[in-house]
Amino acid sequence: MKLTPRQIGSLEEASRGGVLHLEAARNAAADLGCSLMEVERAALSRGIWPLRLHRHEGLLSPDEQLRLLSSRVVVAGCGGIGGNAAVLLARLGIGYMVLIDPDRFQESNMNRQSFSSVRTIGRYKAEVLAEGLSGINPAADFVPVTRRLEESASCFRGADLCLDCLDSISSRKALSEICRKLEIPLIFGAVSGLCAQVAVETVGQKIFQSLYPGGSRHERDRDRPEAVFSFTAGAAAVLQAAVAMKLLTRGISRGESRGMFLDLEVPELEIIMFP
Amino acid sequence: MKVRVRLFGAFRQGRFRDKILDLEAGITPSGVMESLGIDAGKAGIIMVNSRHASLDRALSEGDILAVFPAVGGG
Repeated sequence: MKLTPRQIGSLEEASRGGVLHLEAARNAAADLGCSLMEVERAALSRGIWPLRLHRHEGLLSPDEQLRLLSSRVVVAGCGGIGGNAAVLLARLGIGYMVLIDPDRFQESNMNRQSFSSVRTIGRYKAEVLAEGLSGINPAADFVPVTRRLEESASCFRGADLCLDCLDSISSRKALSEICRKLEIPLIFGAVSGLCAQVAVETVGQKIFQSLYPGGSRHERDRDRPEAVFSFTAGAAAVLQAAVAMKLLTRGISRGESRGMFLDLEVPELEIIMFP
Repeated sequence: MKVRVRLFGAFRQGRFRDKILDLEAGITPSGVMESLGIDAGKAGIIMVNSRHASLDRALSEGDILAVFPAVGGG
């Protein structure tokens, strides 16, 4: 957004002490006739931090934070991993997120899934998540998609990054094919019991086969899903969010893939290098 | 030949975490799993000397083989 000198003056006036309070940003957006996101981007491009994100100062440069605000991320699956990962990315300041999940919350989700509660049972996970996230980052856009993954390929266009937070090996394969076709880097995330696995598939690489050499032959029955704790799903989400932050702020190199396998029983973390 | 074998997750149950095994020369990760009674179809990432490797790669003296179970929940 191109601001006039008067508008820059009013933005700087609103951001006393080098930080921009949400209320002042909202007032500035109303005065300038633009969105809250546009005001926050304009502020960051002048080195002024939105107060909501101010604790990132020192960890991220204003330019890196601006990149996160301008990033578009697809979260495929809004269950145990996806809900947690989406919350972490929203708090990181990601400006645009597509949230894909055709399921509605049910009682059995309550041991691990963000926003699953007695108040949300029966509602679409993607819609509940989008509502919750807009309270965490009111400047960002959250787009819920309640169609099946296979019918949602059009929602991936223009994405900078995709997070795999799905719950089956066969749907992961479909997701990796969509991302490969559209040249979107993909961060796989999966859990089982006390183990969490995260791996990055950059553009031009094929690591699905390396993660699941047996394909979906040994897929668990939908009626007998993986046993999992809240903290294992949360740990996978934490690893994915940390990798996403690094990839989005420092750039994504082609052909540089790594994986992590976390076993919380011991606990231990193994790093896997993909050729 | 001696190969250090590291097992992860559910593969440790009733077996071991980390052990040096005396194996026939040229054995593959699939062969090691078979000798340990692990269903190769349940395997996920296979790593030799800290890098991903395929199930049919021939192992050498002193290699470190790590076998992770396929993890698919979300």
